[in-house]
Amino acid sequence: MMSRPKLTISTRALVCQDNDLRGEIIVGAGTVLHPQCRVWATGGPIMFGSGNIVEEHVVIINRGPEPLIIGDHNVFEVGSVMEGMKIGNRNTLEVKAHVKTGTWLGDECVIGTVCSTHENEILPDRTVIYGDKNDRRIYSGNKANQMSVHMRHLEYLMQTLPKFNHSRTST
Amino acid sequence: MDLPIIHYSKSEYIETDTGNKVSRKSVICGSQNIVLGGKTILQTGSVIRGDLKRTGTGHAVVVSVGRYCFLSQGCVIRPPCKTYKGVFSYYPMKIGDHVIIGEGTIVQAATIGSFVTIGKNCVIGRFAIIKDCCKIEDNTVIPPNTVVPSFSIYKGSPGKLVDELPESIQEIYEARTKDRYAKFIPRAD
Repeated sequence: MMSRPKLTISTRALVCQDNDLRGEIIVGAGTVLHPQCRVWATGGPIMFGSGNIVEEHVVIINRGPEPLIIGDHNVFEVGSVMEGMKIGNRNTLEVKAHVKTGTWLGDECVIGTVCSTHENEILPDRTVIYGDKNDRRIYSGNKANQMSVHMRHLEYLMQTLPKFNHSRTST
Repeated sequence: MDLPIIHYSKSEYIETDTGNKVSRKSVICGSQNIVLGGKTILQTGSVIRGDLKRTGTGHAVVVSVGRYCFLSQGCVIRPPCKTYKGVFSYYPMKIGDHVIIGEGTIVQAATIGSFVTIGKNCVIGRFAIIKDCCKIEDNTVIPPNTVVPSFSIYKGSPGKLVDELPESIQEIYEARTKDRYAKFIPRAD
């Protein structure tokens, strides 16, 4: 049997049971981990900031010895894979997006549906990867509206999920 | 078209009164909000999110699945979400009869009609509407809010119309899903 994960969960975070957590994980306030997500801190620890959403079938792996620091208000949609080194704030990994090993994500990046990054690259802020050929551009719009939707989404999840799922607390 | 017989271990699946076969290794959240029409098969590792229900209303059906549906391994059925008039909410999803959803496919559609086949590793975006008698090829990405018309074949990322299906497809898909249900039998041991 593998050892029990070492969890430090903020009292205002929501971590569902029925998911696969390994190693040392720190979850900040307002972060929501849906059931069926996998967070494996097999190398160094994984630290979530505040207000992140991690949906089902998401895989977040930290293999290296360095801690993987995840900023604030990021969204990991269903089936996305995060193996990178660092992730800033307000990023969106859409369905089945893949951030490969050693990649740094800045702020407000969007990795589109089924898109992936290269290995060991540094994505500048507001990069958008989209389409079947992984085209890139820099987002020029205003994300304020997006943020308000995100805050409402978090509020909804905080209200609804505890009614149907059991939650974990710190070990 | 002869489908192979799939044997399953009897201890893994639960069979309901209406003939639904649900794997114990599937994940069903908020089961009181999910309706399975009967003779529907949920394979190992499939996820249905019935807990993401509409705000405000009391008891509501979140995911309704018709008869003779086949949800393959590792597929995710989750209702779509949006803000409407300043209120963030998830909205109910309806899946018709004789629908096959392939392995690893993620469905966030508003409606899926009857006699629809969705391949492996597809992504059906939020509030997409798939009409009756359609085929979505493997690895297709249907963007959010797309309407897939009847008798069409969609393929690619983003999914585009590549071909049309013959009018007889309804009978073919009906026969196939019934055949698949009949050939999904417990292992004799």
